[in-house]
Amino acid sequence: MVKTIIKREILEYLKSTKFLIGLGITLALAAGSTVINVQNYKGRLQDYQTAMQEMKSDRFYIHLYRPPQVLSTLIQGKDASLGNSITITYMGIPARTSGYMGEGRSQPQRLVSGFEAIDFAFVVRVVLSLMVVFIAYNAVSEEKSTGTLKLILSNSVPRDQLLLGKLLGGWFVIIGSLILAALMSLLLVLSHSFIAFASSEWIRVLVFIGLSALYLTVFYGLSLFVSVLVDRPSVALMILLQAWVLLIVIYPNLGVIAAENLFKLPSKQQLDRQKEAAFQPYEAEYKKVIDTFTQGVGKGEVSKELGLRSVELDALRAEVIHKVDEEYGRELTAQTNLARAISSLSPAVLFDQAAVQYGRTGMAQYEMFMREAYRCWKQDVERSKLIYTDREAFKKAPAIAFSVPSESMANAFAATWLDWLLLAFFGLAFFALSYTAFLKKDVR
Amino acid sequence: MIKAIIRKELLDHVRSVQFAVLLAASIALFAANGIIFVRQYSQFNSDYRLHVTQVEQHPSTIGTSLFRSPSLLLFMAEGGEKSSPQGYALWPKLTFSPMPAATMNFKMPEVPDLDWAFIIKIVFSLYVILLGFEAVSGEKERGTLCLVLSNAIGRLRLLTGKFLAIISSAAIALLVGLIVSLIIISVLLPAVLSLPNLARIAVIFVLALTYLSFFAFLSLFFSALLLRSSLVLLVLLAFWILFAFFIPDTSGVIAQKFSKIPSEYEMAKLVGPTIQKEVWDRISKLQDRINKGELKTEKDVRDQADLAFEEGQDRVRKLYADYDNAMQQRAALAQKISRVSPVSLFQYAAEDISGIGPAAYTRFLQDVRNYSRVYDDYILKKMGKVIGTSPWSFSDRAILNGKSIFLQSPYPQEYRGDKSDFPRFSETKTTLLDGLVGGLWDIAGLLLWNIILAGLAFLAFIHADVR
Amino acid sequence: MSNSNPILKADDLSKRYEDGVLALDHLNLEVRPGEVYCLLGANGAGKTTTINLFLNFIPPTTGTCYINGIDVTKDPLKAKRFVSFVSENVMLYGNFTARQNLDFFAKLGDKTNLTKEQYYQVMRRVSLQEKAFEQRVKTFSKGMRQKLGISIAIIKDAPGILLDEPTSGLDPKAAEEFLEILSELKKESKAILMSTHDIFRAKEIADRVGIMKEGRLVMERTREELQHEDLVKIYIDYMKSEPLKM
Repeated sequence: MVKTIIKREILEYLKSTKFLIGLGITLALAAGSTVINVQNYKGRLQDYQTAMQEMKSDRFYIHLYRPPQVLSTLIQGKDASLGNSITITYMGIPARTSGYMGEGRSQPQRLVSGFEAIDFAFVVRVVLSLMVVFIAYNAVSEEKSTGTLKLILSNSVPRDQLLLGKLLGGWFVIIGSLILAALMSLLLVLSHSFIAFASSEWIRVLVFIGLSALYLTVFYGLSLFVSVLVDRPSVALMILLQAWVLLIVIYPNLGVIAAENLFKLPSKQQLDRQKEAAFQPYEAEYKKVIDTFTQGVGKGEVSKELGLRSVELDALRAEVIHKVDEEYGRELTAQTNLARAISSLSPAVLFDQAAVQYGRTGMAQYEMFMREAYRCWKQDVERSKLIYTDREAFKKAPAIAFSVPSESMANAFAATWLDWLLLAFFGLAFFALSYTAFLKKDVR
Repeated sequence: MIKAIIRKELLDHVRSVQFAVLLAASIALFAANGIIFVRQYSQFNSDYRLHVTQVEQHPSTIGTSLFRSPSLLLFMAEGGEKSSPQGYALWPKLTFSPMPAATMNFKMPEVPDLDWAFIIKIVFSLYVILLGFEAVSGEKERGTLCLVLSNAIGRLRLLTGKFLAIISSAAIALLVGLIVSLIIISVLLPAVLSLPNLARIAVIFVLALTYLSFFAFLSLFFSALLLRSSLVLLVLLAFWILFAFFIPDTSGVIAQKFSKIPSEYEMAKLVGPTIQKEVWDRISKLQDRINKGELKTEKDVRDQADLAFEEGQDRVRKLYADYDNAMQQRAALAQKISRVSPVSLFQYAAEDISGIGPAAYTRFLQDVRNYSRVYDDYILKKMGKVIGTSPWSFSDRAILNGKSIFLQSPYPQEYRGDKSDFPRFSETKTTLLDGLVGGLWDIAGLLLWNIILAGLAFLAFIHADVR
Repeated sequence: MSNSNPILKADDLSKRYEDGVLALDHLNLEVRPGEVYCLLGANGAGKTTTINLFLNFIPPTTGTCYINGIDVTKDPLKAKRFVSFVSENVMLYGNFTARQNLDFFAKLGDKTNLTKEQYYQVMRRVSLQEKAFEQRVKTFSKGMRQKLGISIAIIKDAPGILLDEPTSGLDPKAAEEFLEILSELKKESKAILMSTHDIFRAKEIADRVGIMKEGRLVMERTREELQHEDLVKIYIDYMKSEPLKM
């Protein structure tokens, strides 16, 4: 009997104008945004490949480039806005990547709406969740007002089976729409020759789709719950839309604003002072060495010990500065985590931060790159010392190997299990509430 | 009779759930806006004062810094201030580089600022839709539409009444919010309530109503066209997403496709390897020229080295200038494309009226260029020569007549004398009139959208089947 | 009238709502197979409450409803097997055709594996036009929807039928056709309980008539008794009389 109810529910949705319009809009936006993001990725990939080819490192300047993530075609995250190149010398390692044109010049375009870019994750988070609300808001109240609810229950259909049937019917339709949109986007992405998914990408994509399904289920549960509680469909819709605006538009932003105001970051001056103070013990010696060194270059002779010491002091200075930058980076992460913690009541935020993790377009991937860059720097320092200790070895020294690290799936899970848990909790809670409310509902 | 309609509609709206939530949201958001702005402005201002004082106390002919003064009107339209450079580092020979924005957490998700423009363009537009979507379709569904029309009231009048009721409801909520925000701000920063600022605030209010009336007409149009409330709402929300998110966010990428700007990497390549290599080549060829007898004195050799270096630097500066220009053009193109959406039109007009945003930033850049010339003149006066700075440096040796000459890249020197006449940097101030003129096309665009949708709404309603 | 056990039985049934209103006051009634029982009364007299109690949509305060001898509160799912229901404003599923609606409710009533022809037969039986069989219900007039509603009840083939104001809003011809179907069902030994305002039709079709006032069954008459009495007069007299003491 549940099967009969499920079938009817699915057919009802497929015949309804609002579902067809919602689906059409979803597919159009998904297609449009994916095409645009693929073009964006293509440009960044070309730049990256050309840079790797042409602007190679030499003995003094080491250029490291951050490749664009292929999954940014679906989940933009921060991939396009974080800089993609960093240049290291033994004298210093920058705190952040910058664009190819250097810090300050390569500012990404400011988005007029102020929100993050439109990508498939946006379509799920905003458009599909809205469609879920429109589909489910009168799931129960409509049947009550047309009298079909009474008619069904005049048969020997247990109430929980009826609710289960309605629930599953709607759920299949929603998940079906999600899968359709996802397949279409994937096709659009993979139809380009310069894009190929390895198995790790496929796993991540599948997990992301699963995450999207869970996210939409949460909204579905909420809509169903309100539909059971509120008999007048227009009132139910109003309530759900306000909840939607609150959870998706307003609350996430308030989390960020609250964190920015609660958690004060040190100013640039404070950071500079910290760096000065940290290097203070060596300042005097450093000045003396550099002066002697410069004079020596002018005269054409520099002693080995002097040269080595200058490299060591430069490296030490860079190390000290790097430590302060690292600490600052940790504070940035702390502030970001605070913002997320505050906003974690919003399923949209939970979805977003997990999605970005799977797409490798969040901070996790970036931090791995920077750590690898630091390791590279340390090697460069050792190599640079060879200029003065073993010139032949220095000339023969191979280029420093740099491999772009790739986050493992296990790591991604470890970072996102709480998001899954919270989303699942919300979903189950809403369904449980719907269930209890429906069992007690006055169906007359 | 139209007064009766307006009164009934207005009461209807004011007693609805949507209006209650809108009012509460308006108060909460505008209050937050006020509090956040006051803190932000105090921070910006003290930073600015600190920086300016530092420059005044330590004037230098090697390089100086120019800072943007924070605007008291940031609460109206933040206009991307947080991510714009807070100032420029300026060196001789028109070399300047933007200073990265103040402590911005690049790890945080991008979040729009809670300025008036955001609250109005996103939250209020949504609620106007929620107030207006069942204006016609809801009445038909309840059976009251034919009841009303069975009286001697023209459809035109009826629709006008409904429109006025929607706009008045929104205006009430908006006014309450603005007052809350202004009270909070003016308690801590009374300077905000100067007469010119009040004029701007009034204009923004009128602009906001013009913007919201577009959404009112849009809602009325679809309500009269589709006559099924849930369908109307769905379609309206789709348009809202299109205008508020999709068009503004994709205009940048579209502009990139259509503008013939070399990619960032290609520009960087030109600056670094290409030009740099040429300069190094020229300098290393100096020895050959000495051997050939072209260069006879040490001064000649040094002059040639300096010349090669300076010319290379000039080309680099030109490239940076070209790049900046190209970036600006791309941004301008993106803006033009996004102007299809009335949401963008409102944003730009609001920024112009507040005197903030990309247009203001361009003005600042012009001020920097103007000042740069004054600065160079000052250096010329004090030092007799203007030498530019560069991230490159070279040091090389050449042998002339058996003697080893040490060549080093030129760099600017500090003037050790009296610098009490160091030129001061001042930003051009704009008036409300300038803002209105600058935003003229955007305001016109909003009015055009209003006319089009008003026409469509009336047409739809006149032809609607009200049975 | 047969002497077999009643299919529908209300035993000392009372219902008091949370707000204190006594909607039903010790109702006793029985409907046997082949019998049509009409419940008459003003709005709010308790007719719909009675039907809701039979269908276990609300629990009784005291007393019991039995369908085919089964206590509806103790075993509602089993009891509902033996009764079909035709509600007042039957909207059904507008986006589906008549046959699709019929098919859905037939399956819910445990009548699976019926053929399209069988559905058509039932719809013909209720005089629904052929061309409407595969048309969407939202295009139907009220009369057509009522016919579809009764065909849903017919196809379930349950011994008891509950109808809540089935002829309200129907034009005279449609109402006549409806009652003809009911009398056929009566001949098939169905026990029919019908609540209505329509005195005239009640007089025509009912084997027994009960008049409800303010929750109480104040009067019961059989068909024979009504031959000699003017139901209309009795009914209106009762309606006009003083409110009963509670």
